[in-house]
Amino acid sequence: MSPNLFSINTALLINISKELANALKESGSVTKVVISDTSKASAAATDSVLELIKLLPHIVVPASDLIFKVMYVIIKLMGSPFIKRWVKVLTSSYENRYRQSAYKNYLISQLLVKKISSYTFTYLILSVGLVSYLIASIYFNLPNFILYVVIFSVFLTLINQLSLFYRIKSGLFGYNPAEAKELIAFIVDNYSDLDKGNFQSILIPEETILANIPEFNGALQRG
Amino acid sequence: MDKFTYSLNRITRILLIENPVGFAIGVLLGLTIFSLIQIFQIYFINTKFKYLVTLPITYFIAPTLLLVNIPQFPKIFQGRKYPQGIESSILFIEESRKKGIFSEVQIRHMYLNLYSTLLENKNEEKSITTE
Repeated sequence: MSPNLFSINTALLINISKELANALKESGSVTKVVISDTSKASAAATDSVLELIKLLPHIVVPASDLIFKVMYVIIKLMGSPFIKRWVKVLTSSYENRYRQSAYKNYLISQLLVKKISSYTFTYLILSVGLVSYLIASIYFNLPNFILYVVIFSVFLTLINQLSLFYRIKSGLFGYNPAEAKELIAFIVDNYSDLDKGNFQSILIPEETILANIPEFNGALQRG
Repeated sequence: MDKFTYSLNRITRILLIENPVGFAIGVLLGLTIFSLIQIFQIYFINTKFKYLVTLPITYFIAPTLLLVNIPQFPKIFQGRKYPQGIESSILFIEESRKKGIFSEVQIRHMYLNLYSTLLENKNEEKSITTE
């Protein structure tokens, strides 16, 4: 097979390959772009995505160029509507849960929706790092420590997220200076976007607040 | 549980430097640079930059984390400027809590009152009080 021939066919990677192929063609690295079902390369690649990834640098690019192509794909993916749509899909289940719940008019649920979107994006970026490491480790001898750094980062984000969710769910959030300032900043920054049409004056359900104060907990349970 | 979860959240926030997305990008950038140097170490060994190959991964992640989070620094070190009314209200509530003037329920209602007032009169932030 000619080294100038770019040949690739897998449903999962077809969009990425089109982008990459066009970019390569524009840059002059390849003279001909073929996206075909019949080539030997694509037939071999249909066994698994991993096989295709193994084939990719040998067919398309020289090894020294591989990392730049991977970075190009990552950067392209980060800004693509495809990824943005998936972030929206991932967060929409949480959004719907809070928007349809009894708390939909509470300010705290609107803050939570914003936070969830930020956490989802964080996990996505770290996953890209993890996948890149796994792909790169097929070809290069990278230290295992990288894997621990990514897992530790995911773990830290998870602790941050769970502690915040617990505080919000239990009605503990917003009653100290740091969190009060965070909430005030959120109100000031997003005042025009806040759903105030049916806004209730109390931010967090009264029962939840009282349930977390020992002197009221017993009284509520009796009631 | 209140203090425990609050401390946990604050500690991880300090580590995440107030910005989870920036943190993730910083880590990813550090990893990418480290991996690139490891992959192309053959080219570095014969140059004056050969010491880069021997550096541990933390030397790459720390600078990229700082670089990505530079826009967050004014928030961390100076703090955001709030109108005098809000600052003094929070100060008053916290002093009352420390001195034990009000009960926990009253303190919480004072905070709720502060938020509600802000929502109702966003343009009159300066006039907010904790009456």
